[in-house]
Amino acid sequence: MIRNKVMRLFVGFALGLFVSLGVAQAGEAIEGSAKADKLESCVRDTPFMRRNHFELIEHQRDITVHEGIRKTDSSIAGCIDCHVRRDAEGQPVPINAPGEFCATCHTRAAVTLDCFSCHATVPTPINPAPELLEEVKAHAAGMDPEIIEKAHAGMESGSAKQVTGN
Amino acid sequence: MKKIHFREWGIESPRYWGMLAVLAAVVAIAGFATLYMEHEGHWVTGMNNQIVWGIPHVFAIFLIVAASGALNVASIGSVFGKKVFKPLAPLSGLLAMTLLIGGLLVLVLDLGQPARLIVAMTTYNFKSIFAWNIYLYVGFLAIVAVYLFTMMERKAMGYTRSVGTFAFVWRLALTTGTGSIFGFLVARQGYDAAIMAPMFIIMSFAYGLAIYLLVLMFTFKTDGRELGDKLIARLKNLLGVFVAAVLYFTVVYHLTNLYGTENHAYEAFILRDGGIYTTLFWGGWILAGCLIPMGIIYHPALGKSRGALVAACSLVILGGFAAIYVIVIGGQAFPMAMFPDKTIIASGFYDGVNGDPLSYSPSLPEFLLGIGGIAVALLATLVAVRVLRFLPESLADDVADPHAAAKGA
Amino acid sequence: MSKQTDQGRRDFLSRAATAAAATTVAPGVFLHSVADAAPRAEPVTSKVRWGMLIDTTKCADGCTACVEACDVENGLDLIGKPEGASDAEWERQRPRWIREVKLKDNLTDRITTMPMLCQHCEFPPCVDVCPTGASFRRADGLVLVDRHTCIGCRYCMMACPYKARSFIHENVLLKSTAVPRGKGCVESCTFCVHRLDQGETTTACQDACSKDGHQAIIFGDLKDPNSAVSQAMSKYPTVEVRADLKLNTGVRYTGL
Repeated sequence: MIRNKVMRLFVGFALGLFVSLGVAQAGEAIEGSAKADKLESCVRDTPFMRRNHFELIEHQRDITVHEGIRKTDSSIAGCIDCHVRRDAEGQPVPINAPGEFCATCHTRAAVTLDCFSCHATVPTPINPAPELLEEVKAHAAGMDPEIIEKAHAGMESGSAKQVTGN
Repeated sequence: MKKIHFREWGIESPRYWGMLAVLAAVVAIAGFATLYMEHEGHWVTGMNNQIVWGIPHVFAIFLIVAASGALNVASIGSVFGKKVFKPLAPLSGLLAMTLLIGGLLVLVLDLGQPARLIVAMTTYNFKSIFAWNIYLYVGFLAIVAVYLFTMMERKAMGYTRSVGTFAFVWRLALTTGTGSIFGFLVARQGYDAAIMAPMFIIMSFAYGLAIYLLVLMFTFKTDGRELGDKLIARLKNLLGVFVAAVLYFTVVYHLTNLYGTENHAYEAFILRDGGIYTTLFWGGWILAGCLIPMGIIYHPALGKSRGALVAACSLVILGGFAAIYVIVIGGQAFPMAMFPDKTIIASGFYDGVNGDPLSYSPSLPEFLLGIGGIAVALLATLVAVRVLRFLPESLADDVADPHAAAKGA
Repeated sequence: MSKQTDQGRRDFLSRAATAAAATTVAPGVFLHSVADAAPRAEPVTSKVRWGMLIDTTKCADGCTACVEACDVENGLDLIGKPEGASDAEWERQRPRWIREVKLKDNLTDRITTMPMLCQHCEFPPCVDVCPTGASFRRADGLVLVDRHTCIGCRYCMMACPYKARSFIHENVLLKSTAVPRGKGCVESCTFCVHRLDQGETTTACQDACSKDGHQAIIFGDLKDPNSAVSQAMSKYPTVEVRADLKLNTGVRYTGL
C-alpha cells in the first residue's frame, strides 16, 4: 500500500489537473440515475466495499490481464457501468467528475485515483457512430478537453457495440 | 614521507555560492523542461516510434559509463597498490557516485511513467539486463559509499583494500551491464555484438579519467593547492593509454563487422553514407575523441602544458558524447533488416523505405534534461568537497610521491 | 466556444443517441459475435495458441482495410494530433499496431504487399528485455503489455525485430472501455484480446480483410489441427519473418 500511496502522490497533481479540466462542462447528473442506485448492495456488502473495493479491482486487474478472465463481478468496467450517473439528456457523467461516485470519497479521503489515466470514465462502445467519430476527431486535433469529454460521453450511445468485463 | 592531510575545498564564499547558483539555475531549468515533457508527453521531444531512445539516453549513458570510469583512480590506488594514487581516491569515489546519480536521474526522468519507478524497484524480470542494471547501479552507489567511508574514517581504513577490490569488480560488472543493454539486442544490426561490453568498459576508463582530471585541476587551481607535474604526467599518460585503447576497440568493432557481408550495409551507413552519424563518427568519436587528444598527450611540448591537457580532456569528453550518440541514435536510425534480399519500397510506419535512415531531430527540452544531469553531478560534487574532506591539501610531487620526486631530482 | 455551437453539439449528440437507441442492447452483450460467445471464466491455457497466416498473394496493393479496422477496434483513431505538433513529426509518433509494407525483391523485382504486426513470438525479445515483466506472453500465445507495470522505458521497442510496438507520446483524453490507454506506456497488437476473452474467434483486421473480399488473413488456434489456420498452414509453405532469430512467431506468411 505504501507503493500505491507513493504512486498516488506522484501522479496526483497532474491527474487532478486533467480530471478537473476534462469534466468542467459535463451536464448535471440526476440523482438516482445510476444502475447501482436501484440495487440493495454492491457485489459485496457496503462496509466491505468501502474498505476493500480497490483490493477487488486490483486482484481482478491482474487475473484479467494475465489470465484473460473477464466473467467477473469486480472489473473496473463493471464498476463504471453500474455506478455512472446520467444527466438530463441521458448522457453518462464521468465517474471521476467532482461529486460523482469515485470522486466523492476519494476527494474526502485525499486519495488520488490512478485508474482513469488509462481507463474510460464512462462506458464506451468499440465503434462510435461514424459521424460522431468525425466530430470527435475534428476537435481532438485541437485536444480541447471540454469537447472531447463531451463527445466521449455521447459515444456511449453512439453504436450498438458495447463491451464490458474489461 | 610526509603525511597527507585532507581539507575542505576553501575557495572564497561569494565565488563558491556563485558557482552553486549557476548550477542550481541550470538544474531548475532542466526541472521545468522535464515537467513540461512529463505533462505533455513525449510528443514534445524528437523521439518517436522509430528512434525510441534519444538525447536523454545519450547523456544518461555517457554519465553512467563515465561514473564507473571515475572510480578507476581509486581502484589503482587501493586494488593495485599504487601508493601515489591513494590521496586521489576520495575524489575519485565521490565523482563515481555523483556522475552515476546524475545519469540515473536523466534516465529515470525520461521514462514514460516516472511515477512508477517504484514498480521498477519492486517488480523484476531477471532475464532483463535492465533489471540487473537497477541492482548494479543502486549497489554501486552503496558500495562506493562504504568504500569512501573506509578511506575517510581512520578506524575503517583496514578494510579499504577489500572494499575497494569489491567495488572494482562491481564497476566492471556495471559497465558490462550497461554495454550489454546494446550487446543483447539481436534485432538491430548495429548492436548485437559481444564486443559492446568490453568496449564500454574501456570507454568508461577514458571518459571517467578525463572528467576526473578536469575536476581535480579545477578544484586545485581555484583553491591555490599544489598539483605536482609528475603526478599529472602519470595521470596524463594513463589517459593516453585509455584513449588509445578506445581507438583500438573501435577499430576492432568495425573491422569485425566489415568481415561479415550481412553487416556491410550498416558499416557503409556509419562510416560513409550516414550524414550526421558519419560526421560524428569520424569528426567526433575518432578525431576529436581519440586522435587529437593522443596527439596532445604524446606531443613533447604540448604534453607538458596544463592548458593543453585541459583541452585534451575536454576533447575526450566531447568525443565520448559523439561516440555514444553514434551508438545509440545511429544504431536506431539504420533501418532494421527485416527482409533480407528485399527492399521496402512503401510502408505505413516508417520502415526505412528504400533503405533510408529514420529521422530524429532532438528538441530543446531533451537537451536541457541531459544538461541538467551533468549539472546535478557537478552540484553534488561541489557541495561534497566543500563540506567534507575529499581533497588533499597538496599534491605537490614531494608530498604525493616523494620517492619518485627524489628519483627524478 | 460559442453557446450556439455548444447547443448544436448537444442536439447532435442526443440525435445520435436516439438513432442508436433502436440497436442498443444491454451492456455485456455482443452483436457482432459468434453464437456461443461469453466472457471467459477460466484462465487461459497453453492448450490454445493463437496465430495468424497471411497470404501475401491475396493482399491487395493500396488496400488499408486491416489498418483502418484495427485503428477503430483498438481506439487508435481516437488519439488526436496534439496542438502544435507538426504533421510529419506526429505521423512518426502516433501509435500503429498493423501497417502495410510493400517489398521489392532485389534480384527479381517481384513486388509483395503485406501487413506487418506483432508476430506474437513464442520467444519474444520484448519480453526478455522488459525490466518489470510488464511485457509478457500469455499462456495462449498472446504477447501483451501489462500497462499497470509498464514504466515506459521503451527497451522492448529497441528489442523488437519487427518494429511492432508503439509508445503513447501524448495525453489520451478520449478513452475506450475495451482498450484502455494512457500516456507513457508501450503497446502493440493484442490479436484483439478483448474479443478473444469474450469467446470470439476473429480479429478486426481479419474481419475487414474478409469483408473486402481478399481473405488474405486467417486467424485461429495453431494447436487445433482442424482450425482454418492450421489447415491452411499444413497445405501451403509458410515462412516466418526473420526466421534466423528462431523466435517461432505466431504470425506466418505465404508467398513471401
